Amino acid sequence: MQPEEFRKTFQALQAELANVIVGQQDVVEELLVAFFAGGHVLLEGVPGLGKTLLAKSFANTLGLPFGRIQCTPDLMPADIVGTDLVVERDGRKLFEFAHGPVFTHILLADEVNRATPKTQSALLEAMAEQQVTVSGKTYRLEEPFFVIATQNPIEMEGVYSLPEAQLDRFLFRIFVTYPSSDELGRILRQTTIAEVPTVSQVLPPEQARAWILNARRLVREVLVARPIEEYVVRLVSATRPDGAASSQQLAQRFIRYGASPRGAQAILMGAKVLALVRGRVNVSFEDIDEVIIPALNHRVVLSFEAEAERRTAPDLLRELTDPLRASR
Amino acid sequence: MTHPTALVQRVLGQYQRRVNLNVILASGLGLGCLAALLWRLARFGMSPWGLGAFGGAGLAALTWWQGQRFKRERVSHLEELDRTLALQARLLTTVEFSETAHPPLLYPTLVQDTEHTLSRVEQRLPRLTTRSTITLLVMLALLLGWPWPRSSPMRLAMQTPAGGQPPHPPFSPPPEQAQEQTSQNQPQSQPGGGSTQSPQSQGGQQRETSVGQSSGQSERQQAGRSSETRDQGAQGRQAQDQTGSRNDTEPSSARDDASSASRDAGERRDSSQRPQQAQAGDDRSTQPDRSQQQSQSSRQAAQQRAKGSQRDTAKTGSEQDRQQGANNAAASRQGSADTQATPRDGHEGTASSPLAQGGGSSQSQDLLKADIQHLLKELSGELQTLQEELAARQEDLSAAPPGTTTDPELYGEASRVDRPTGNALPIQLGVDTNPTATSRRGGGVGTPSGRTSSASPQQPLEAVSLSEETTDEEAVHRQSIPPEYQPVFERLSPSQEPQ
Repeated sequence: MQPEEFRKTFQALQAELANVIVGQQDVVEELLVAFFAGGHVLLEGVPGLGKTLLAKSFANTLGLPFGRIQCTPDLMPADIVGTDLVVERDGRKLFEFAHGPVFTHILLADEVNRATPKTQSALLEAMAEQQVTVSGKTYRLEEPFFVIATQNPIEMEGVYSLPEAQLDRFLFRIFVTYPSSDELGRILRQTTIAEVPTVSQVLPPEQARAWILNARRLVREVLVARPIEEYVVRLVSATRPDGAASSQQLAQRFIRYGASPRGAQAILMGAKVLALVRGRVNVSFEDIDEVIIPALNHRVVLSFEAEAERRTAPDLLRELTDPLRASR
Repeated sequence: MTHPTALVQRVLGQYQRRVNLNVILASGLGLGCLAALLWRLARFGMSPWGLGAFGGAGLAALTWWQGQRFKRERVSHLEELDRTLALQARLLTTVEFSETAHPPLLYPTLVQDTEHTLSRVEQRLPRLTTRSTITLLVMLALLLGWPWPRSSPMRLAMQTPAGGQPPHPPFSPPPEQAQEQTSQNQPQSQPGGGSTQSPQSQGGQQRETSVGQSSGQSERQQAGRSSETRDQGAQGRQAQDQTGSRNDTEPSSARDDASSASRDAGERRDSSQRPQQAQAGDDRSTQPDRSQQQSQSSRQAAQQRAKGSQRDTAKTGSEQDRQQGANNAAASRQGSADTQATPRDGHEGTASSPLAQGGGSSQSQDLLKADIQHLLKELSGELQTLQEELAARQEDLSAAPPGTTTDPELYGEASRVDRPTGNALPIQLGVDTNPTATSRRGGGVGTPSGRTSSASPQQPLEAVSLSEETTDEEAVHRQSIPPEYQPVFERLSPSQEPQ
C-alpha cells in the first residue's frame, strides 16, 4: 500500500463520518488514528453528544462486523466473552462454546463504567492480548479488533470507575465536548427531518479487512528519527514525579503516578498515523505534540493536591510539556 | 538520486545567499536614507558637529538594526519553513536513515519527498523586497523628492550641468569666522564696486561674502547659465540699485528696520541664486560703465514703479508710513541679497551674460523692463503680506487683556421661546374634595367643585353580559365501594353513608 492511498482513504472516512457527526472533527480524527494505530479508545462525555452514534457510524463506514455491549451492573463476564453451553449431538451431551459479543471486529462497550469491575476485567484480556479464555480454553480474536468504550463522567451513583490497569489498555482517551452554537443548529436541521443522513461504506466489504491490516502494517513502517524518539522519551519522563525533567517540581506536586511505557508507544504510534495523514512518511515533532494529550491524559494519576486544586490531567500535561516543546 | 546531504547543502547555500542579499539591500537603502536626511538637516543649517553626531548615531543604529535583522531573518525564516514544511524532521530522518546499511521500506519515498520539499523551499526563500525594504525605499524617495522644492536634491541634481560641480549646501559659519573671512575679503571686493553701499547692506555683504568664499571655487567655475540665472542676476542688481538710492534718502530709523529685515532675508535667501548673482556682479565689475548706465536707468524705473505701487496699496497715513518702512525692508532685503554679488575678482566676469554684452541694446532693455516688472510684482506681494501682518498686530494691541471683558460673540443670537399654551397637565390625576380654609398656592379658597376636567382620560364602556352557562365545577365523587365490601364499611363506620 502506498502512503498516498492511505491518506486518501483516511480522508474519505473522515468525510463520510462528517455526514452524520456534526462538528467534532478532532474526535473523529483521533478515533481513526487510534484505529489505524491498532489501539482502543475510550470516549468520555456527557450523555447526548453522539458517542454511540459515532461508534456505530464508524463501524458502518468500514463495513466490518460490529458488536455492542450495553454495560449494566448486572452484566456478567460470560455475557461479554461467551460461555460453554451443554448441547446434545448424536445422542451425546457436549459442551459447546457460545461466542460472546466480543468476537467481532469492532466492539462498542457502551457506558462501560456501569459494569462491575469483574465484568470490566473481562475486557482486559480481550483488549490487551486480543484473546479470551473460557473454561481454560483460549480463543483468539480476529484482527482487526477495536474496542470503543464510552463512559459518562458525571454519574456518581451506580458506576464503577475503570481501574488504572484497564484505562492503560486504551490507546487514547478522547473527550467529547459540547458542540458550538452553529454545530448545534446544524445538528437540529440534520436530525429532525424525515431523511436522516446515513453513512456509506468507504471500503469494499470483501477487501476491508485486508486493506485495514495492510494499512496498520504501513503505519508501523513510518520512519522515526532518533531525536524524535528522544523527544518522546523526555515527554513521558516529564510526567513522572521521580523524573529528571526540568518540570519535576510540578510533577512531584500534582502527579502521583506518571505515564507508563505503553504511553510512549501510544504517542509514537499515533504520531505515525498522523504523519501519513499529513502526507509524510516520517514523524515530526508536531505529530508528537498533537497526540500527547489523548495518549497520556488517562495514564497519569493525579495527586490529592491536584484534585483539591481542580487541576485536570490535560492542563497538567500541557504545563509539563511546554518547556520541552520550547527547548527541542 | 541526489544524496540528501548534498541537497540540504545546496538549499541552505541558496537560503544563506538570499538572506545576505536581503540584508545588504536593506543596509544600502538605510544608508541612502541616512545620507538624504543628513543633507536635509544640512540645508536647515545644522552645525557640522550636530551633523556628525547625528550621522554617527544613525550609522550605529542602522548597523545594530541590520545585525538584529540578519539574525532574525535567518532564524525566523527557517522556523517558518520548518513549521510549514516540517523540514527539520524530514532532514533529520533522511540523513539518519541514509547511512544505514539496509534502508527501511519507506526510505525511497522519504528521499523523494525530501527532494520535493526542498524544491518547494527554493520557492519559499526569503524575498528580496520585504516590508522594511519597501518602507526604506519610500522613505528615501520622500527624503529626496518631497515636497519637490527648488532645493530638493533631485531638482538640484537635474539642474547641475554635466561637467560642473553640484551646488554646495548652505553653510553658515560662526560669526567670528564670518568676521575673519569678511576682513579678508573686503580688500578684494572693494575695487570691484559697491562703494555707495550703506553699512547695513555692507553687513549683509560681509555675511554673504563669507558664504561665497566658502563655496566660491565652485561658484566661480559655473560658466553656463540658464535664462533663469540671468533673470535672477538682473533682479539682484536692480534691487541693489534701489537700495542704494533709498539708503541715501531714507531716514536712519527706516534704514535700521530695513537692515534687520535685510539680515533675515539674506539668511533665508535661496542659495541657488547666490552664485548667479555673484556672477552677475562679476559681469558688472568687468564693464563698469555699462552697468552704471543700467543702474541709473533701472533705478529711475524702479522708483517710479515702486511709488506707483505704494500709492495703490497705501490707504491711511499711518499705514503709509508702515508701508514705507516695509518697502524699505523689502528693498534692502533685495539689496542685501544683491550685495552678495559684489565682485571679488575683476577678471571673473565672462561675456556669457547678455546684460554684460549688450546693456545698451533694445533687447537688453526689454529684458530689464521685464525684470523690473517682475521685481515690482514681488514687492507688491510682500507689501500686501506685511500690511496684513501689521493689521493683525494692531488688532492684537487694541484687544483688551484677557479676563477683563466679555466677548460679545460668546453667545449666539437670542431666540424666542414659545410659551406653552393650554393645560399644562393634560391628565387630571384627581380632585381634592376637602374644603380649604386658607389659600393655597394656585388652589384658591373655598370648596372644590368635585368635577372632573373634560381633558381627563375616559374609559369607554364595554358591552358585557353574564354568561348563561354556569362555571361551577361538578362535585367529584369518590370511588364507589364494591358491593362485597359494603358491609365491612358499614360495620366500621355505621354513620358513614355509602357512596
